[in-house]
Amino acid sequence: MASQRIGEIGSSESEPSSQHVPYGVLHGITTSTSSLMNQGSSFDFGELEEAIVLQGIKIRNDEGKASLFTSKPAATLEMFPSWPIRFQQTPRLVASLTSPSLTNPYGGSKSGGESTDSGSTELQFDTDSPISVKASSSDHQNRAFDQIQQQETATNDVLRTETSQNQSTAKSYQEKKKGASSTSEKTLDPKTLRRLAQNREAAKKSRLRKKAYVQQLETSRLRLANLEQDLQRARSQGLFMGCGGNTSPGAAIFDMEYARWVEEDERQLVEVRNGLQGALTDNELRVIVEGYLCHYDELFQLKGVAVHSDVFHLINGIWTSPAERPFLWIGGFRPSDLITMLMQQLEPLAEQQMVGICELRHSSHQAEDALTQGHEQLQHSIVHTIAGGPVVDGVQQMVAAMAKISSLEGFVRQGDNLRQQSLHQLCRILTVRQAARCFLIIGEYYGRLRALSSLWTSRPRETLITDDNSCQATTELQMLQPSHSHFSSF
Amino acid sequence: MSQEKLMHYQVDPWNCYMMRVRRRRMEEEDEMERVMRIVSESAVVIFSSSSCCMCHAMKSLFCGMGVNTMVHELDQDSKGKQMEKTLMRLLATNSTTLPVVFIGGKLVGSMDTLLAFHVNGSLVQLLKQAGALWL
Repeated sequence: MASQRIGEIGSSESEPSSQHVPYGVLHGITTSTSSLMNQGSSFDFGELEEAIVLQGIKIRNDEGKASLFTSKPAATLEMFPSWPIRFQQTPRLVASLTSPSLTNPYGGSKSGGESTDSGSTELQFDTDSPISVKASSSDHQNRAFDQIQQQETATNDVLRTETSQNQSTAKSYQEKKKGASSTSEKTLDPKTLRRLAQNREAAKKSRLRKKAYVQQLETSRLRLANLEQDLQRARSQGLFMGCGGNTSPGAAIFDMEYARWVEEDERQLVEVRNGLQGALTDNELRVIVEGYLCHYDELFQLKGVAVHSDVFHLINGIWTSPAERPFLWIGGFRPSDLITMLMQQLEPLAEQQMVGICELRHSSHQAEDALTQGHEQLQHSIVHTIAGGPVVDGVQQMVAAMAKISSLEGFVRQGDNLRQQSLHQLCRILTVRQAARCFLIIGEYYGRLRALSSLWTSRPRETLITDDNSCQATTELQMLQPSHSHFSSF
Repeated sequence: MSQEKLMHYQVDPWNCYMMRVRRRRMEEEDEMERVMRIVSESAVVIFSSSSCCMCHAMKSLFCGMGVNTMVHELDQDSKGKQMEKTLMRLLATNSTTLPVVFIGGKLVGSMDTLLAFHVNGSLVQLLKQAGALWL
């Protein structure tokens, strides 16, 4: 089959305009079943040939099979005039192109039963081949069968002699022109032409479809790789995305946005660090510091949106890394703690600044206490509402509970407000360089917390249990691992 | 008689409308006056609701600072609803805003603004000016 196709491709190049590509297409696609049959039959013929060569008698026995095989090829012979031409592709035949039987191989095959002459002349060509001897039977089918066999041997020879392929294909093309004169009218038949055109279209369409499909596969492969990368990154940062399938869409969106914010944070931190180490003027550093402040404002904006969509997600702190969670206060950091840490690090402070920072710490501490008290009262109230009083009215209860949840949102909002105000006030009190150092300290602090979290999540569990003292701690840690609600900020 | 009344209403709808508007404005002014009267009575006045937890937070904030406040529980006031509406109009907002605090007879705002003032240090100034805080 391959040789046939090669022949067709070769022939397509030198064929007149009326039948350019289609020949290959025609052979390749339209009669797929018949071509498959041919393919199967060709292989079978090859095996048969061997069997015949070895034993020499099987031809008679395989008449039945032959009839089966020939029926199809005989039918296709009508359509594929190149069959008989292929028959002449042996190197030997190249010399004897002008033989009279060449001009009418098709006719010969068609009227196989009538003219034994053509059969014998055909036989003359392959006198060396043992098959030709065996093919001297008057049975039409056998002759057709032999022709095909010879064709197949010819094709096999062609396969072996690759150098002569092109030659023979070119020659065969001329043959086709000459020999297929009787069939040329058939191929130029309008119905056939239309069929050929349709086949062309179908082939083109299927090629395009295949191309599109392959492209789609490629893009989705790339997307999959990107997703896996993101997932890997998120896991390494200790963010559990969509754990237990309980995340609401608002929570999932916030998690994604927060991850992006953290990446941006690291970038800005590098900028601040470079700004401090480099010899930048105060104004330039001020730009960087204000940029960092805006960055934090963005975070509070994100949280503002998230509060409205899923307040419980913000409160339970799953969006933070594990090591940050114990220190969570109403959905975020505690401003007074942060300021205390900063005061320790920013040792050389002017008197005025020291006073300012102490006052800030004091006022934020008071505000925190007030909010904590209000929050605790809210919690008690929610518990009371859910537990239900002596008069339990389900709907009323739920309505009241929902109202309390909206006040919970209010508390988270005020907590974020306090955090934001503290940061802004800090920037007002300190000089530009000190503010830059503050942000650096804060960023490094949280970076270390996240690194600790990832270290902790990836720690080897077996080696922890060493002695009795640590055993309890590790079992506690292991217990705490699945239930993060133990780290309550209340 | 009824015919005359009918004609009167048909002929003068604009007048009726204007009368209604005027009446409402007078009520609003009354309410505003009432509020102004209340807030001028004390240095720090909080309009709150007994069941609201944020109001509790605000109260504890002032308590923690050692400031005496006058608290008006609107849910226990007969005209509480109207006063709440007045406060909403003052704060130029459509959502329920309690708690609302006035210091020295002047509007400070909701918990948002109060915390902002406290953090930047201006709350203490305000309280000192109003005489609610001595240091």
